[in-house]
Amino acid sequence: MEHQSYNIISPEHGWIIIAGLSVLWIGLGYYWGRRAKSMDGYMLAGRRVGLALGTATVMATWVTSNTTMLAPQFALELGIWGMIAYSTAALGLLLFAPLAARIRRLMPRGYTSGDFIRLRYGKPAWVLFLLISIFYGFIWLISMGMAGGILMNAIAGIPYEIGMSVILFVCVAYTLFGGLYAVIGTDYVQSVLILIGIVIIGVAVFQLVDFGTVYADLSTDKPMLLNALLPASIMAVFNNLLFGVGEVFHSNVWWSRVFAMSQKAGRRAYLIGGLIWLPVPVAAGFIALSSGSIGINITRPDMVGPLVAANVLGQAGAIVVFMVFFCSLASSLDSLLASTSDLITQDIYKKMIKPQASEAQLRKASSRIVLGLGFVAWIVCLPRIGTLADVLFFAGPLVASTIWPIATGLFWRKANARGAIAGMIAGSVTGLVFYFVVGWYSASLIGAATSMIVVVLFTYLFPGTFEWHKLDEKTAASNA
Amino acid sequence: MQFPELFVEIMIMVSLGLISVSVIVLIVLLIVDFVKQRVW
Amino acid sequence: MTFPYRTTTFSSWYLSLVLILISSLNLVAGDQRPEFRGKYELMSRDGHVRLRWQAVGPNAIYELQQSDTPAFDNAETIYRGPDLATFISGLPDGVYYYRLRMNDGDWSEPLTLTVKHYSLQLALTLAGLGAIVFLLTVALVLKGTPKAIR
Repeated sequence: MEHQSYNIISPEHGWIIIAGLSVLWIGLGYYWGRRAKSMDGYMLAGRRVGLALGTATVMATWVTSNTTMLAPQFALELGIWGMIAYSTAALGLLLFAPLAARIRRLMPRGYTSGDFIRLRYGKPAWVLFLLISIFYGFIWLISMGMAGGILMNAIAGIPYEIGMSVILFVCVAYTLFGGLYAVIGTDYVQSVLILIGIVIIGVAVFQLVDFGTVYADLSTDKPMLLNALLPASIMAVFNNLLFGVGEVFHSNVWWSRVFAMSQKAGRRAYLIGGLIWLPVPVAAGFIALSSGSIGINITRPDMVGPLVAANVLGQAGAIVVFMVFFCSLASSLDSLLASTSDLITQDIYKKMIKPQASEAQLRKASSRIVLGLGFVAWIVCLPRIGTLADVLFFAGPLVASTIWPIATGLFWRKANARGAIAGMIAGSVTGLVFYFVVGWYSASLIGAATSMIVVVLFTYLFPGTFEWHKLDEKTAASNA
Repeated sequence: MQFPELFVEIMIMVSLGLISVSVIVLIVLLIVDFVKQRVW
Repeated sequence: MTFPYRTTTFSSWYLSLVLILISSLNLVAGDQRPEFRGKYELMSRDGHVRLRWQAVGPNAIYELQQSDTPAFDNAETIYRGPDLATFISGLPDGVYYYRLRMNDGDWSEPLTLTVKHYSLQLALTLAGLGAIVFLLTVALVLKGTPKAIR
């Protein structure tokens, strides 16, 4: 362990908090999960989720362990622009709001983002899309699992393998029992806890060190962090923005929420949720930037958030931090598990393998897939390879390349399959090339840009004439 | 060219303020939904 | 060091030799120079670096100094404590020298860090491109569909 200075919380305290929260989530998951009587219930929480729960789940799901670990890291590495760059991910949610309204209207019986791509662009595009989406979902899942283990270890000294396993196990358990009802219900509780926790920590730091001191210390010791012309962070701003937009636009995590919410709630939930999320990385970033003034040695940049928070508030504060992290992890892990499993169950199992599957069979398949995902994630997380940021940013160009195919697919009749496929491929390839040749901070940007140009070109050159009603798939006897 | 101190300070204070307000917003929204019986 | 035991001349020589060897080993161990882990010539394009060093026994207090000259004039102690790593960021363009010692012993070999930020031109170009893509996406999403759906 490189960090020798102090133990943040004792393993015993860590275990008590984990146990307490785990029992809470699993209990609530089971209780709310009993509402899930049908596949619509299990996968989409009855399709009538209201504004409060809708907003909370949008916000909580977007507050991932990345927000609590990576946002402070961005601030510490890239300064004020870094903080702002991270916040731009809120635009993913905000820009999705009009799409949410449109999706709900066009596909009242829809289940997944895959459904949309299949109905809109046909099978080849669908397969390509599924590859991108499942790859991204899986990478996100692994990064969450790893983060859980790392955090438990750094804050409470719990061995990485054990911490990671416990978190995955708990999330799989309550997602399995309760489906999206459990996910959305627990998200509400988790979102409130996260917000309260961040305020407590932020205010504590603000009171401990005078802001003038923080600013002065940064000017002396880390001047580039205050620089408005720090090249690396300027590049990060739009790259991160487009990565965020790509993530939200394509992922079934967000589409399933649209299908789960009532018609009225959808658009507003994304707007309000996005606005609530927006200041969170700024608060987290501030906590990181004050580390120098407080006199805390940072041994790894992704630990700056927990290190500062725990140091500033002592034992009680460390417990608050631990709780916030566990909540942010759980609120995203459960969503990922549920939505990725839905995508695989609906799009692969039902549409490709067994179209005549009954509700009971689908439910069983869905459960097995949740378990399977959890298990494979566990295996991959066990050796603890790589750093979180590297792993996730690799998916950037892939998801950014889906932005224009999806948005134009929803709004332009002339958008066509060839454009969508070409856009996704061109965007992904050029983005990845830039990732390796120029740097990670350019990849999503280039992916989105290339995809946009290709989609617009193909729409102009080979205009389609799509009929919107085709998106409303009749469930009874349709063969995809 | 440095970000001015006041700018940064305001940005952070506003953020902390917004987050505090958000908690209240979420709770109020839930109460409203509860009253109108449209929680889920 | 006096010897309370009577010994023959030969064994007292031998013993003295052994004792000298042992104490010189102790001296060496006590003044052990800690070593950085990884390369000693580092390059950063964004002004941050993570320095790590080898643990040298328990209860060691390390001191890390930073200077802009290889002779370490105007050196600044940027860390003092038991940790085995530190993260440094926000450095402007330039060459920085680091050295490390343990328990106020001898200094390690200096580590050189060259910070050369990415070209601002490249950054602004990419940002400009990003802004365009972003704004066009906003326009697409807000404008929506040309005709209302039935």
